[in-house]
Amino acid sequence: MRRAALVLLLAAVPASLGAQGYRVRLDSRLQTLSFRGAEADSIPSTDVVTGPDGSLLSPDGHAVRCFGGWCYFWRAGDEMEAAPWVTSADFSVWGLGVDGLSVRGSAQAALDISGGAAFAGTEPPVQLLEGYLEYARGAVTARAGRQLVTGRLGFLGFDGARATLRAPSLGLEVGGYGGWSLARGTSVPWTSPAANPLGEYRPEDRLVAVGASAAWRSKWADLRAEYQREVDPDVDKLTAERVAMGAGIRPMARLSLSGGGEYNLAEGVWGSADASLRYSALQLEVAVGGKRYRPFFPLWTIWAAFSPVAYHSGWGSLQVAPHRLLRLRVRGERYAYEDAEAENPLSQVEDDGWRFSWGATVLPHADLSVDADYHAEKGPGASSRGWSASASWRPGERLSLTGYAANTLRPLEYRTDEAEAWWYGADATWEALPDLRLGVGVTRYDEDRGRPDAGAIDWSQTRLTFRVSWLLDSGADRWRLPPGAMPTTGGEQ
Amino acid sequence: MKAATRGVVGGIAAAMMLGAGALVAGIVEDRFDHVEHAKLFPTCEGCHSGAAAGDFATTYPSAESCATCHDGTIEERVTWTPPTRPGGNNLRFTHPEHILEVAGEHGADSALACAACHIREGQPWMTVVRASGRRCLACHEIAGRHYDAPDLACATCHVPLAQATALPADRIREFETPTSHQAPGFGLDGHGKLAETADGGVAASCATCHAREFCTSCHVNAPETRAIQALGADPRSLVHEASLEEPPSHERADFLETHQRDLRADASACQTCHTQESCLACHVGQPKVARQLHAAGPGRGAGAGTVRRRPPSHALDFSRAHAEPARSAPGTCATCHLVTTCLDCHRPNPADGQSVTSAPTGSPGRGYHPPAFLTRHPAAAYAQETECADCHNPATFCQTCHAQAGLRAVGQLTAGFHDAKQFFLVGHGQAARQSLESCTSCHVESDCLNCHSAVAGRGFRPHGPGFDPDRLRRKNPNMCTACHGTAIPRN
Repeated sequence: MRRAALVLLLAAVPASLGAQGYRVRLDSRLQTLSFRGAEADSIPSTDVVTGPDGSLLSPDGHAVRCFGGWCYFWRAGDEMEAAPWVTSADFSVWGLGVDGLSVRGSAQAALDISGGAAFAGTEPPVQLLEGYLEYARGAVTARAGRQLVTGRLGFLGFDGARATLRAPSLGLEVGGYGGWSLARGTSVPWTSPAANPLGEYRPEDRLVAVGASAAWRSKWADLRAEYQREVDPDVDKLTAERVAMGAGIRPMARLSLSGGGEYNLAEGVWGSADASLRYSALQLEVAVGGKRYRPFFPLWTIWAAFSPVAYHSGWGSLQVAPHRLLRLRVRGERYAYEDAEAENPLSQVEDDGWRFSWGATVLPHADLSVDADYHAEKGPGASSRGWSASASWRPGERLSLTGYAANTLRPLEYRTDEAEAWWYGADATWEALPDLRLGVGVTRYDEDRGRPDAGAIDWSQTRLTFRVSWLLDSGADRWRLPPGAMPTTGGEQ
Repeated sequence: MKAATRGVVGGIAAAMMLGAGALVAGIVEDRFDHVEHAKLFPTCEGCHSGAAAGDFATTYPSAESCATCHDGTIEERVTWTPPTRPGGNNLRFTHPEHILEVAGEHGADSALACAACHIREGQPWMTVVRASGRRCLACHEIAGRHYDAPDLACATCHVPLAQATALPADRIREFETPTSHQAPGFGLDGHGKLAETADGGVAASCATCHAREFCTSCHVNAPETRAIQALGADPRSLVHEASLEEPPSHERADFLETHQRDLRADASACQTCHTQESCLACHVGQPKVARQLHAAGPGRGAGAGTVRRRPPSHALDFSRAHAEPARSAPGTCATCHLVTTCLDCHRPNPADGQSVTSAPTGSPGRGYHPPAFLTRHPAAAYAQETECADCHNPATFCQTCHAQAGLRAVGQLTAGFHDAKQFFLVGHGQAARQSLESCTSCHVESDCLNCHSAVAGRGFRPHGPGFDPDRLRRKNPNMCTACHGTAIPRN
């Protein structure tokens, strides 16, 4: 079976290449869930009844808003069920007969086995997140295929080529890339039907993306500049053009200052930016920072012309481990929007907000951890506050059990909705073999929409999850599956 | 001869062919009842005639000679078969050599010469015991504990392990640990300094107990290490198990940052324990500096198993704090991480339960978002607590899910879903400019063009602060035509 899986994955590679090493991680997950949406409805204003408190209601008890002889409301939609099943494969193959040549990739097959409407993220059924041939030797790295570039301008996926040149002695690195881009945050282009669920305007042809970057690294500092541009070849017009600068400075051990920002050349406006000062020690991390966030919209949409405004925030965080069995954390942030120049006395909305959270992790035993967190945020549009707690126990080297619960209060500003949700469940992960991990979980959501009328949609449900993760390798390296889960705040291995 | 006597006679043989293990054990009483026979045999040579000459065939009495008395009449019959070959040991010792030396002191009388080693001082005749190691050490003037003898002294009595082919593995396993092996640093470079001789050979003290396979069980650089190659090959040496010891340098707080520099400066220390594959455990691709290490292969140790370790910068909960440094210097991240690693958290998996992350830890409730985030995502999304669109495509993720839940605009100018504010429709502009991404998770462009189109709508101007009509027209006038048609105003 192990060989069969490898053969399938290497089908595209000529057998004569005789790969010397490979690593494949197969991951299969299934979730069963249900959801109940809302459905717009209306009645003639003559059918409206008056409630005991004088409010206007539909005959079946929904609060209505009347407008031009008709009254509108949203009623609960049908309960829908979904069972998305996603299997992904991450693979690396090297030793292809040419020193420095390798193939890397990540693909995903998704299927909703419930037979109902396809759940978000399951279209198209087969997606290639990354898949490229890489040649890395000395000062040169070249790639061809589907790949992602990351940086201050976010994640950009494209089908094309990329080259990077390095001068390690000088700490310099320059690179460039070009190809047909993918829609941001997904592995399909904007021309894919999957990227147009509401039937909006979309480019006729795939956009062409080009970009370049230059970086300098030293022991004390990093500097990086990025340029990125997308063109719609159908109309031969620019849809995005941005530059970004970033820097990281380490004036002394454990102290770092990092930050940067982007400028939208297409619109002529500053985009998002951030800066943070961080002190990291084994038992202490203190950080303060500031952030500016302005959304980015490509010019093939009209949204850039609606002049989205940025918000500015200041934040601070502290994590401390006063004892080896205890970790504490707290974070706070305040933000305020720039003047939108669209205030209206008839509909005042908030233009600033804050976020706050604190939490603790207790490790009473090497195989037991308990986490508890509280959060609160209040801002325009919506607010929320609540807590969560979990306890994880590892009764053996290969088994991990977790129980958890959470509560959230979620008042909305623009919608009459004071929902309170309870969330609780359990999860088990079993490392059946050193390279094989199985998991099962159950989660129950109980929600009270907090509306006095029939518009209090019941969304409560139970979700089941199943997971299988399998690592295959040629034994030429020592990567294994991560050790049995102990969900400390440290998270990573 | 009684059956039990066989073992006793065997004990005599063992006493005469004493191995290293027995030497250490001190004086061991011979189980053959020599005393019982004391009055019968005035000399040792009577029964052990070949011992002095080193003739093994006549070192033990024959069965016939025992039967002279043990014939079933005079004495009870016994069965006895003398050993046909010497017992296994690692001694350089031979009786003829020692007999000559002892004879010089005690005379040729075997009763005196043999007694020098095999009868305790002051004990009566025929109280035979096995020769003791202490006696060897005393005669050879080697002070101290047997296993702590000086290097060259080992070779006085012992052959290298690889030459002691008859020594059973069990006896090798019983070798004691010399005190030197307990010294701090012995497991690191300490043993190497002791092992290598000036002429490029290996110390006799090492070779007495160890062979090449033992060293190769750890040393990646075994083929290049002269002292190891000077040892003979002997798989029995693997009865002793060794484990790699982590050097203090690896515990330094800055080790992860400086280990490449260390390797460049002096690869020899790293080559001892690490193969090129050690680098691959953490590094994406093979760093150039790794070529200074040996590739794994036959004749080399498997090497230290490296595991990924969080660098100091990743203290405590770095997953919550990595965004800024990762954006500023993604090349640093790429040293250890593939982009696909980022996607474990930064790309939603529709089959992931809300409680379970797809992150490498697989830990429940520890994904990118905090627990129960689904129930409170509106607040975080409105104010863009993080850049949602980096991971969630507004169309494939937000719109698809909202549309399935019925949360999509119906294209009518009604009070709509936002029923908490009486005049939201009139005053939605501020909310829209603050969180346009939230709006686009349910609304499409045509919803807005109902009013904001200059051609087919009501002509409400959507442009606000920072709007640069000339630049946008120059960059892409197609966007303008959505509202203005071909009559795009000049400013």
